[in-house]
Parts: sequence; C-alpha cells; structure tokens
Amino acid sequence: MIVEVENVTRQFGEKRALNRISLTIPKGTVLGLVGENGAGKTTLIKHLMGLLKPDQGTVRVFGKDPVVDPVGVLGQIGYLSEEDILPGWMRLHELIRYSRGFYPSWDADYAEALRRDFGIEKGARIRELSKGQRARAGLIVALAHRPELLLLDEPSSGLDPIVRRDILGAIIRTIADDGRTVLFSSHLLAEVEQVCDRVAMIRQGELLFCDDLESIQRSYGWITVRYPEVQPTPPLLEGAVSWNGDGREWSVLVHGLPGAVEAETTLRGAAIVDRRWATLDEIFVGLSTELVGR
Amino acid sequence: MQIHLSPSDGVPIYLQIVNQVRLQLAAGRLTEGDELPAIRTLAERLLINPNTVVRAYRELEALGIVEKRRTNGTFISAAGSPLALAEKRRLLAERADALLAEAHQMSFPLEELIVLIRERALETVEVAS
Amino acid sequence: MNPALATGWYFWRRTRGTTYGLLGAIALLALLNRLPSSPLQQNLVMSGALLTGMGLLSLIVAFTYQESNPTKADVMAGGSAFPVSMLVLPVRTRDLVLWPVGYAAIAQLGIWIPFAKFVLVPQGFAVDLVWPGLAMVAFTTSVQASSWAKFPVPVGNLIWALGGLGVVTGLSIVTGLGVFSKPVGYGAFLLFIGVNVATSLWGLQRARVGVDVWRMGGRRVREVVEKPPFRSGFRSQLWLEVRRNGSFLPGFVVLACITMGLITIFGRPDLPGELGSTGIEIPGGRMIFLVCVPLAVMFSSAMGTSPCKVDNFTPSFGLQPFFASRPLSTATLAAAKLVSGAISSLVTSLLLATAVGFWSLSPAQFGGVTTTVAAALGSYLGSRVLPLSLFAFALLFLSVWKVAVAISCSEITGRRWIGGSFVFFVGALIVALPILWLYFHQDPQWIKFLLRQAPGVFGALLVLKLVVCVLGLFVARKGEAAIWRFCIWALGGWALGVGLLTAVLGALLPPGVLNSGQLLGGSVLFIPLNRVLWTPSAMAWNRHR
Repeated sequence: MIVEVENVTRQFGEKRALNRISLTIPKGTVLGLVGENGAGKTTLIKHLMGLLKPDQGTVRVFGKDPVVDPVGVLGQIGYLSEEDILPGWMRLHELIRYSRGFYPSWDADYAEALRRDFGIEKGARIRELSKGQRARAGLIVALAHRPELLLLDEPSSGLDPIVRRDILGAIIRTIADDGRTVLFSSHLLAEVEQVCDRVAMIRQGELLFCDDLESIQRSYGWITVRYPEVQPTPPLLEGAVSWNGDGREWSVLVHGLPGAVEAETTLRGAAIVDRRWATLDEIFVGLSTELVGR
Repeated sequence: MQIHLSPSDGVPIYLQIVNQVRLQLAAGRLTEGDELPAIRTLAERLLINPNTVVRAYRELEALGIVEKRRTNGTFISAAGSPLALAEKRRLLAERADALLAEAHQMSFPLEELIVLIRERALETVEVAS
Repeated sequence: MNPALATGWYFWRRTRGTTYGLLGAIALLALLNRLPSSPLQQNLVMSGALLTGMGLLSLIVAFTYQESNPTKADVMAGGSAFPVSMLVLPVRTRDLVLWPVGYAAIAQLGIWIPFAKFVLVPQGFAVDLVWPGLAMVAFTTSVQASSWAKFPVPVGNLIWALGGLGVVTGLSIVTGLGVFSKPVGYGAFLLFIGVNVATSLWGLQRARVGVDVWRMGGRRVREVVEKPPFRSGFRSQLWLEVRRNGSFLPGFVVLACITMGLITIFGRPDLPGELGSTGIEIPGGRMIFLVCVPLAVMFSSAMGTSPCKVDNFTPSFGLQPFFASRPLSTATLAAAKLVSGAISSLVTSLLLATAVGFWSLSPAQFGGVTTTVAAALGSYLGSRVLPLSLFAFALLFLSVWKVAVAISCSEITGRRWIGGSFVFFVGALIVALPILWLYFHQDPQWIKFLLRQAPGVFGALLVLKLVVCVLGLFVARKGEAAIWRFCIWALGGWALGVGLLTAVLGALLPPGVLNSGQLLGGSVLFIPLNRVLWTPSAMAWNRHR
C-alpha cells in the first residue's frame, strides 16, 4: 500500500472539510479523485503531503507519516497543482538546477528531453511563460526525478487540449514505467475515465465511493421507461439517481442490478424500451444533485 | 489498426476496443496473422491506462479472436476465418434485432418488413450498376 | 453610483484604515502638546512622532505601490504595470489616474500639515508646513507615472523612476536650504507633480489602447550560463533564500546610509534654512537614524510587505506550497533561512562598517562621538587595534544577525497576530524607554535604585532565557527527529560562542572592569540561542497546519 488514510477528520473553524475518510491506494494504481469544488479534494491531497495535519485519524504514505518524516515522503512524490506556485522571477534553467538538488534520483537527460519536447526556452522567466507553458514547466519538475507517487491536483484546469494531452501522456508513461502510483484529481471526467483504474468521489467531506472504474460503470446505467399513463412528476423507482423526461417516457439513471429495476417497472405496468451505459460525468452530476433536489 | 474512442457514450473503453477489433475482423480489415499494437504503444497513442489495453486483449483472447505468441506479440489467431464469419453473423444479428424492435414498436408487420428489405436491396443494386 | 466614483472608492478602501489611524495618532499627540511643557512630555511626544513618522512612511509606500507593482512590469518593453482588469472598466482614463493621485495627495498633505503644525512645530522644529508634503506627493506621483505609463523606449519606466527620485531629492535639499524662496520652491514641486500626472495620463492611455512599443532591434536572447548542480537540498534552498531576500537588508542599509549622509552633510546647525534645524540633540548624534532601519523593516512586515516572502506585495503569511513541499526536513529549511540571514547580515555589517569609517573621516563626525571614543580608547589601543576592530566587527555582525532573525519570526510562524504583536511590543518599548532614560539621568536616587536592581534584572533575564530554551527543547522533542538534532547543535554552538566571547572579552578588556561572573552572564545573554532554537519549531507550526 502506497497510501493509507484511516478515519481522517479535519475541520476549519465551523466547516468540516473531511469527515472520517478512509482510503487506500495500492502500488501501481491510478486513482481518480472527483468531487465538486470545495468538496475536500485539495484538502485530502495536502494531508498526503503533510501540509495539513488531521484532527483525527492517521495518514501514512509509503508507510510513513508525512508530518513526522517529510524527507522520506516528499522525496518520492511528484506534485503538480492547478495553482501558480512556481516563483515567477526564476528562469527555467534555474528552476531545474534548484529542483535537482533535492532529488538524488533526478534524471537530467529526461528533464532535458521533456524541456525540448515542450519547447520551453532555458532562459525564459516563469512569469513570462503562458499558462500552458507554466504547467509544462511544473510537469518537468514533478516528473524528472521519476517519483513513486504522482499527485496531480486538477492539473488540467484552464489549459488547452494540447497541454492536457501532454499531462495525460506523462501520467501514462509514469504508470507504464514499473507501475508507479498516481492520484489524479480532476473535473474533466472524460480524462478520469480514460486513465484511471479506480475512482473515488468526495462530496462535502464524505467519501461516497472508492471502487474500480469498471464496477462503477457496471452498477450504473440509463434506462428509458415508458409508462401507460402520463406521469406529471418523476415517478419513483428503487435505486434511481437522476431523472430526465416528461409525459409517458422517462430516462432514469439507476444504481443497482438491472434485474431488480426490471421487476419493479413491470409491476407498474411500464416497459423498458432502451438501455445504455452512463458516463462518469452523468453519474457524478446525478449523485451531486441527488440531495440538493432537481 | 485504427481505433477511435468515443468519450461520451459511456461504454467502457476496453469494450470499445474489443468491439472495434471485432468490427474490423468482420469487415476484413484485419486478417489472420496481423499483429495488434504493443500494449504500451496503444496506451500512449490513445492516452489510456495500459491496464485497459491489457483487459481488452485478454477479452479478445478469451473470445479466441487473438492469441499470444512466443515473440511477445498479440496476433489475430489462425481460427480467424471461421470466427470472422461468426462475427459477421453476430453483428448483423444485432442490427436485425434493432430493426425488428423498431418495427415492432411502430406496429409494422413482419411480412411488410421483408418486402421492404427486398425493395431496398434491388434499389441499391440498381444504383450500383 | 457612477463608475468613476466606484473606481475612486476602490483606490481609497485599502489605505483608509492606516490613514484614519495616523490622523488619530496625530490628534493624540496634538493634545499632549497642549499639556505644560516638561521633559517627560517632550520625550513622549517625540517618541510618538517617531512612530507616526514611521507609519507615514509606510503609508507613502502603500500609496505608491498600491495599484502598480513596478517589478511586475515588462521592463524591456517600457511596459505598464497597471492592472488590466481596471483598464477595461467603463471609465475614462483620466478617472483611473486622477482618483488615486487625488486621494494620495489629499491623504499625504492632510496628514503632513497637522503633523507639522500641531506636533513638530510646538516642539521647536521649524519645519515648513507645505513643502515636505509636496515632496511626498511628488515622490508618489513620479513612481506611479513610471509604473503606469507605457513608455516608447525600453527601460523607459526605470529611467523615469530614477530620474524622478533624483529630482525630488534635489528639490527637497534646495528648498530646505532656502536657496529658492518659498513660493518658487512650492511652484517647482507643483510643476513636477503636474508633469508626472500628465505623463501618467498620456502613458496610461497608450497602455489602454495597446500602442506598440518600439523595441531596439528585438529582444536579445541572453546566453544561458550553465552552472554546476547543487550537491544537496540544503544548498539549493540556501541559494533560493539568498536570491529571494538576500539583497533586502543590505539595500535598505545603503538607502539609510545615503539618507544619513545627506542629513549629516546638510543638517549642520550653521547652515541656513529648515534643514539646518533638523539636527536632533540626542547624545550619539544622528546615529539614532540607523536604528530606524530595523524598525521600518518591522513596520513594513507587519503591514504585509515583509522582505521574507515570495512576492512583497501579496499579504499572505502561510508558507507557499512550493516551498513547503520541498523534500527537506523543517530543520534544514530553517537552517537555510538562518544561514542566508547570516550572509545578508555579513554584507550589511561590511556596508555599515565602511559607512562608519567613511563618516568618521568626514568633518561632521557624528557630533563628536568618534573623536571622544577614539580619545578614550587611544591610550589603551596601541598594538590591540586589529583584534579590537575585528572583535567590534564580529559584535556588529552578530547584532545585525540577531535583529534580522528576530524580524523574520513574524513570517516564519505564519500567523499575522504574532508579527503584529511583536511590532506593537517594540513600538511600546520605543515610547517607554526615553521616558525611563529621563528618570535615569535626572534623578540620582533612581540611578542608585536601578543599579541595585541591575543584578536582579540580569538574573531574571538569564532565567527567562533558560526557561524559553527548555520550553523550546520540549517542543522540539515532539517534532521531527531532525529538529531535535538541530536544537542540540544549536545548543552546542551557543555554548561554544559563550565560551569564546567570555574568553575574548576577558583578554581584551582591562582587568577589574567587570568580574568574570558578569562577563559570563553578559555573553550568555548576548549570544543568540532561542532565536535559533525556536526557528525550526516555529516553521513546522507554519508548514503543517
């Protein structure tokens, strides 16, 4: 186990940012972390790096507590965030030289190859670069020492598709190389579907699920139900998460075994006329609006 | 081998790969002995998790469509031709099921459907010649 | 509400707190001035005036850099640093310029005039009511013009800023000396202010419309000199700390020395005009101004423009994630900060020593302090000149380092209330100490009383130092192992320093001046221990929130 989070609770004043979250990430997995803005994804990632201490519960990365042993933990982590955290006044070659001092496993040739691929000049100041180039510079620093764990906190937000491809490509190459572990938090759920083995969803500090992507995809689906009479309000169905439609035909996003749903619909005299897979995006939106109301 | 992934229809990616390989086999674009791309190559090209490619290849192997050889590659198996035929039947059967279901919903009688198919076939031949 | 008014309020809202505070302080001091004159009242008012003056300086900095961080401008393109979000508002360019200039002018003059009239003049300083305020406004508008306008020449904004500084200094000296008559002096300042405002209007319009700048043959790509890689994380972090804030303290001292030099040259009582009367009659002469350096740094750090942050103009105190996520133990991060502070202090001490040496040769001679000190030591110096000077330099270096490390504590803990209360404490000390000095040197009974208490106070300070040290060790034990090791090393280094200092003092001082117990006690208090010991724990408190 690379990451073990056990019953972690963290409060900021009145707000409970994380509520008894337990999560494990085995070696070689790509875990996608999804959730609304402010759900607690960044808070969780900061706990993994020791930037925040849990009020209750324990966090272990590589079997060590990141607060007690920052060197052992951070030395094998590559971190990329959506915020502009690189110092603006530094030039790229200075940034590389500075970062190199911290990691004995730094591969200078690999860093240079990335720099050339990304097309960033050595003498360019960070603040003179465009947003996409800055993200790429951050990617070089995160990848060049071939970290055991890659932590990506919404790295693609606000970036053009080409930079996003670079980031995804970097993730794929990282896992292909000796099965390193990746934690990837993103709003672009299509990317999460492409790249992740497991998906964890956080809503308002609670962990809704943490499961293999395939199990999740198999347990949700859209079915179109045709009722004999017009239904003015969305009709009730066991395991329904989200509704769409009006009159006699309704599309339902259901969670659970398809057999159970079929049984129930026939009970009411309705017929299932269509079935299709649900994308992760639709599942996420459905679950997020479930309690808020439609 | 050209694979196009559709991100927005919810079908799991490994299934999309499996389906497209079967389609290409049925269409004759893939034949016996053709090599499928290496796992890592395909993963990097499509920007997907290599495990997904592994899963897809395993599924294809279970179906008997591909086999692994000693040279560490994945190839369309020798049982390709009869499988190709089976694939063709399967795919067309799926299409036929969809057509029949629609006709049933519209309350279109089966005999008229068969007449319709014959008419369309004749027209296509005329246009082609 | 029309957009122009809204824009004006936007510029005003950030500095209104400080402005009201300063006006309140001036009102308080003016009331104090009404009391019958006595040395106590004088000292109270002067200390308050010093603090108010410091606040006024901070306010000038705030006005000047309020909407424009000159370091962010694209210098090579003569570029404008005005925030783009304001350029797209539905207001005319003249609103964007005149509101901030207007508010700054009114606030600065509005603070200076009552300050001069009700606080300084009653105390006997014959300062003019108008031209220093105009000088402040001129300085602010010139820096604003240099950073808002888009100049057609590369580095144009830098040239304008430096030129502006020169003009303001020159006009101030000339008007203060009375070379021109008052109206001419005022007129010259107003003219300069007008030129700056016009430049701002013209330049901001160009920036808004996106006028292309003429580049001198295209930007040259500078050749990158590849330096050898750092051998450890500590060296990397040390390089970063020195690059980031190493130049702040020396730069500040250079500015202070230049100011001091000007005051020394022109502040002679025999010179005509107001500048001649600004000599402050405190023993030690104008050396007191050197104390202002760390004080001003502390004030600006409490205001959020600490020298130790990544970006001087964002008031955030937390450790930036980039630095908190370095794979270094907090002890190493703290060590890098302390060593970089030491390098900075060394450079500063060299500058100070050079400046003092330079001035001791000048005719002004610090109001005679240097000659008296030299006379007192003269008989004693003889062959001991070299070790004594080296020793004095070492003491200077240690003192500067102690102050520098103490100042950065407000940033290290990352809690604004700590930095604020630290500044408050020092401010209170500034007000209280002169009053105590008054009682000291006027009442022989008090002197005897205090001399009798001296060993007690001494002992109390020693005990306090010991208690804080033990507390620090307890806290360190609970943190990372590396922090504990760091503290042990700090303790060892401190013990070594104490031993060295005691031995050297014992050797250099004439026998019988102080007994060995007092020497030891003094060394124990002087060599910094807790500052060093607590730094990693304080940083850990910030890093792991």
